[in-house]
Amino acid sequence: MKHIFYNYKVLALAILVSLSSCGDILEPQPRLDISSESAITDKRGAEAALLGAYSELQSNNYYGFAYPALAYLSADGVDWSGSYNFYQQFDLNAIPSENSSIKSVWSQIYRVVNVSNNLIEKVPGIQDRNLTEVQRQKLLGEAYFLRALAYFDLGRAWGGVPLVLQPTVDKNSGKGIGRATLEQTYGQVLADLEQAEELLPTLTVRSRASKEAVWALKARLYLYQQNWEKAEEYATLVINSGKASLVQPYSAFYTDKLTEESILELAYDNADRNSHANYWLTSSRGGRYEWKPSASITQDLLNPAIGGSRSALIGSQVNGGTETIYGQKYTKVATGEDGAFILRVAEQYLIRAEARLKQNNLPGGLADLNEVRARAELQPLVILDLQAALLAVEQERRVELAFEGHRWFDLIRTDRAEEVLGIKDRNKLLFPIPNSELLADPDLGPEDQNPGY
Amino acid sequence: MLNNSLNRFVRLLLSLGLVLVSGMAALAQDAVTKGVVKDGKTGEPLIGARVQVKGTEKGTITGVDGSFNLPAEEGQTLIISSLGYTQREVKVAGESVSIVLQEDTKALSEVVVVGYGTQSQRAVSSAVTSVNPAEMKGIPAPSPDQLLQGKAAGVQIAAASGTPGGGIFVRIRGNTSINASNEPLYVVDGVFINNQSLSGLSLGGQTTNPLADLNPADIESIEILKDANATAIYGARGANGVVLITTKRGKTNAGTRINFQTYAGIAKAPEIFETVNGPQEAELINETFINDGGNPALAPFRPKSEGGLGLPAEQTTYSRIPDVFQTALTQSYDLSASGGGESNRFFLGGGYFKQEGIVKPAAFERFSGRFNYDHLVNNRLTIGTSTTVSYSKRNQSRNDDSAQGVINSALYVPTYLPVYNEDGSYARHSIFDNHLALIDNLNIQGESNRLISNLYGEYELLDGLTFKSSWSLDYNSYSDKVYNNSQISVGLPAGNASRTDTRMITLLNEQLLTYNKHFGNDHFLNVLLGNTVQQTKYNTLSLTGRNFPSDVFQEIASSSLQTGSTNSSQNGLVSFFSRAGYTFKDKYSVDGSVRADASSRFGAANRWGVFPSLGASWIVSEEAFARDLPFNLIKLRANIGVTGNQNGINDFASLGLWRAGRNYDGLPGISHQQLANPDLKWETTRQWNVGLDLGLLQNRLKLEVNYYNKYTKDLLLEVPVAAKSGFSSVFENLGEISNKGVELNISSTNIAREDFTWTSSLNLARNVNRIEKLPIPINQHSRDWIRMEEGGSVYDFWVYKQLYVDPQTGDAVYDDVDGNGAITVADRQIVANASPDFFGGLNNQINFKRFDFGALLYFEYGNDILNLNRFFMEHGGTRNGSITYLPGQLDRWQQPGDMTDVPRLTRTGNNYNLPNSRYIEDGSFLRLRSVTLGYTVPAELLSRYKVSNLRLYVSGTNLWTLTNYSGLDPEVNVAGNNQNVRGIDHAVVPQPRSFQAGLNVTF
Repeated sequence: MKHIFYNYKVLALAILVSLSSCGDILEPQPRLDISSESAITDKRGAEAALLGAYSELQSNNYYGFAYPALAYLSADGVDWSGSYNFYQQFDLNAIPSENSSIKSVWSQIYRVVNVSNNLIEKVPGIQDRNLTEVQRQKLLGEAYFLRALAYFDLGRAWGGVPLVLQPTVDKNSGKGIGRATLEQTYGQVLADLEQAEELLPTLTVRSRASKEAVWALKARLYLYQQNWEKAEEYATLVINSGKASLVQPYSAFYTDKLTEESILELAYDNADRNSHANYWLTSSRGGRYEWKPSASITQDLLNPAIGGSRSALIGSQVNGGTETIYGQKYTKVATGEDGAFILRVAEQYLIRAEARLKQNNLPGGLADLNEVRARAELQPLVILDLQAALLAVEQERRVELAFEGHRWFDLIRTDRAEEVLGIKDRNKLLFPIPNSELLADPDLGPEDQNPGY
Repeated sequence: MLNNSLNRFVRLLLSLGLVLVSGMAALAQDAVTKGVVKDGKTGEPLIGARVQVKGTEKGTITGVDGSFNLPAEEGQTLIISSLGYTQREVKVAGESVSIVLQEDTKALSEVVVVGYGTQSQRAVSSAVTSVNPAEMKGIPAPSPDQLLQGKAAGVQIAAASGTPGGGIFVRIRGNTSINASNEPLYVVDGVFINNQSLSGLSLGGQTTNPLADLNPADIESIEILKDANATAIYGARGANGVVLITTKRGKTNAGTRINFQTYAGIAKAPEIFETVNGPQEAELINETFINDGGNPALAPFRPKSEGGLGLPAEQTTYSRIPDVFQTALTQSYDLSASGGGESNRFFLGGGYFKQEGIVKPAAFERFSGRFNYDHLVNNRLTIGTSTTVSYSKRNQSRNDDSAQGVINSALYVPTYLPVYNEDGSYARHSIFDNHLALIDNLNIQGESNRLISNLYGEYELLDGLTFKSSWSLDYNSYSDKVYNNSQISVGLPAGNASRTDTRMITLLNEQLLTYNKHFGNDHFLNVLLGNTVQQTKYNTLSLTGRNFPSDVFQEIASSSLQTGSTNSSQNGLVSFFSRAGYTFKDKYSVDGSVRADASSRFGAANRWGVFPSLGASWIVSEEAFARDLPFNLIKLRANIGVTGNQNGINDFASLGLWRAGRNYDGLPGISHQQLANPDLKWETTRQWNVGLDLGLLQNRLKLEVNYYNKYTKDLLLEVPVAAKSGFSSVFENLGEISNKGVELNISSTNIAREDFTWTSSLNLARNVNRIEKLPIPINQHSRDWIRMEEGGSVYDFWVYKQLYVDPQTGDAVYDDVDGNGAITVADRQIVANASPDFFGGLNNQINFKRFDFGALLYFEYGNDILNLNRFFMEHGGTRNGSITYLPGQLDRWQQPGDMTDVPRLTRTGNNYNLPNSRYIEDGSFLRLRSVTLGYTVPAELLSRYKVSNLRLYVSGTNLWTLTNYSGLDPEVNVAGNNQNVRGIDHAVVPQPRSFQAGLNVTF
């Protein structure tokens, strides 16, 4: 009997031991994450969230490469040469609404919106003695700028989009917000840029938003809205700020990092890599050659009278007896340091050139155009006809801003896309709302899809 | 149906006393009859069988090798009996006799292994399938799960590819979940083991199989628990069935037996890919060019003098595909010692296994050891351990859905393009690497270290009441080591390397109190009570290095750009469980179990889940009214129960989280990661099962039928949310799935003569899966080939249905479902499904004299396969000349009047750009999975070498396959890393055809 009693004690002990550790076992804490509530509560948290917003902006699905890629594949400078036919569908301007890139880019842009919304909502209320008022304003200013950029990119590609301005706290957040018009969307962009302009200091770091970046984006927004006077005004502010200038030679701005050329350039490094080069380079250079410069742009860039020193954008290799042309604006496969050139000063000259021409200022417009041409080691153009000069600006934008994703939107805003690109269905000038959104978002019905999809 | 080890052990104990008595008696005699007693089914020697001279007191017990010596004269009759076998009488004729005993089915079916113990076979009301590993011999598979294919009704097993050590698809009674796991729970000697691949590499969707860390040669028996009454005791992890693996143990007082097994084999691909040749390819490219409005005079393949690539007929064909296939070698060695003394028993085994892949470069290698030991401290207390260690190493390569894959680089590259450049360097074309560069330079190693150990103490407190406490560990560490040198595309320009070490440790403590008691003759009660505490910790360390001084340097330390990172997570489970069974008059049984689990993955409000079950069985044949029926056994079973599922979701799925590591410009950043759902809870599966067991003709014909109905609700679903929220999905308990099915198992002893036995068993299962409720459809795989939607089932293919090719225009005509005149996403529809309508296996085993012959057929019927190779390679010109063509492309429409289902070549339009039904094929197959022919060398030839048993055999696997599928192999699955994708073929390594020769010797 004694040993039985003893063993009951052992049993009791064993159960006790096993239960005493239950508390820890059932309530482990996440190690990579923090709870949403504690995310933006102090200075460091707010700064980290702002960096997080930039991180979302630099994602492969946004400025890393996908957003510019969808735009340049849709236009005439880049031909699809790979195997992912969801990219081919952009090249063919026949994008089904279930295209996977459309979905991932759309979703990624809204990630930037949500982090910005969180900052805009929470930063004003942060109680942290380490957070100075200047720092608070800068945090908010950058958040407003990023949200403006995100909605601008959504608007120009898809038309009006749902304008979510509050942070998402649960799955019901944002309920009731359907598609706005393009006008409302650009209106929101402008409102955010006005806020950012007040809050942001002048440019010190080219990888972060600044007052100059706000001006540059405003200049572009006004250009898209055909508000020529304002476009000229803000482009002038940028050019005259002295913070950015055209670098020599042309290739310097993309072979180096964060050069004087850039007003806002997203920075990448070995730990935080840009994979844009992978899509451009041939497999002999470590890429997958998903796309390549089109024959027409290759011709233009290699033409000494049109491309000038921008011929550096075209690479060539001979493989098994055949010549392969590839683009080399993004080539840093080893380090992953290719930049994303969101706003650079050459564009500002071209914005002002166009705005001035539209205001019948032919000499002023040509002067700006020729600044850009001179940097490319080209002779100044002498044109007497305004229309011809505007076409010259269009052509200059094509080669100067090649592979940066401008041309598609340029041709749409000037209403020349159908003519130049040979697109027969006008509806195809807007990307389709992702089909998955029509399914997942109760505020988007089939009638909210862009026509023709 | 039986547990051999336990039976043998019981038999051994019973005969212990007799050995002593009769052994003494035997010593005094002179005229001696020698003999050996063997199992009629397995041919293995029977230890501890009683041999008695009829009408006398003279008797003995067989030894370890089944032999006996007994003083008996010619003409006398020997009575041979052994527990679990039908008694036989044999007349002595000559000095030596060989006696085969047949199993007594009724007696032998005494116990069956179930969760946390055993149950009387006659009382059990659950659907449990036992697989005898002896039946699995002859298949050169590295992991035990693969060996179960075709052995158990309702258990669907398919390798994702022919890559050794690669992922295996295992489903017991269908898919119950979408985002949580569908894998069964594996329990090895009481330890819940990890069967989640720890490799972090992306190799085109291929996975590794953690069960390949286990050596199949160590396994004594495998039980598959299929229904809720059997699995509810595993509560929150029981919904997908449970696989109980029991490893070999020694036997007390059995001396020491040494066993050595080995086999070696070769394997080849039964078929390899075929593509068009250079001239055909050039013709097709020209035709696309002209069809798209190109000027025929400027077609790409025009005379070189005119600036073209040369006329089609002038093109050379460069062969690549044969280069990647090889004849692969397999070798396996296992050496074990087992036995025991009076107060201990042990099994000590070591194994080495190496298998090459049939596609270069791939290999799997494993070193394993096992130590199982039990010590009887006194007649009440036993302590012991079951421990296995293994080290396995994989040489891997990309394949499947990867442009850098080895097969891809040989299969897809246009055939008119040369392999080498003029300067002798590797030529690379479009997105693909050079296949020879890959074969020569790929360096992707996976190393797994595994320790699975259990320590226990078991104490008999009172008669029939025992207490057991055990402490277990599953230590699983996996290293991915990759070095890409500058000879391959992914290593350009200066090489890169990565190393990821992942460690998963599960600690488990378990207490069990069991009570088994007969009250009188009519009542039997068994009760079990227990609790477990489990904790799983997971952490990874990853390092990368880029820019190496040369290709000679391979360690990350030699690189100039280095990054490092770590990550960790953990979860816990606290459980209490109980089972009770009551049997009356050995005829009527009821049993039930309940388990309560608390999981760290859910919020406090929903932490606990309770999973009950109840079952009953009735042996009708024991009733008086059934005595005259021609059945030896009629048993009716019914049960119902609830099980849960929480696997496959992340450890913190219910919390709203922001994640760090979202860095920018060298500074630390955070951004939102996951939406909170504090209401998150278990998936629950309700299942009922009714079954009938019949035995006829002295149990020579046995039949088991089960019908089951499973209904899973509160699916842990990643429900898509509007992207405008910044999130893509939230985990919610939404959606319901049902599985209904029937399983049939027939086994028969066709011939049962002394020197000639033939047994057959057939299993057949049908499962009907239905997604009963799903708020919005969920698409899978690139291009959304697979869709899950309400009313459909898992693995439905969602495509544009091609009706025909217009003979006038050559354009594909698709089903315009909404009739709006345009083909849009609204016209996509579900046209096929990758799950079989039914599947099963037919196993035949023939023993003739000293020869044994076994053959296993496996079949799946009604499963469809999406042949993505055809989608990519019958592309009609839409691939930019970067991908060659399969010969099927040659059947394209060329001129008005052509009748074909392959449309006109064109880059534009819908002919080739849409995911359409043209590439979906019937994947039904019947396969001769294995054939084995063995010969057992006569004992008299061996005894002088102290060899008690020697069997030699040859076997072949996948020798013959009957299928209409046009790809290499119908048993394929790209994206084995996504459980919601199945039946897609895309540059997958086919199942090898192999031949082995082996021997099994016991000393």
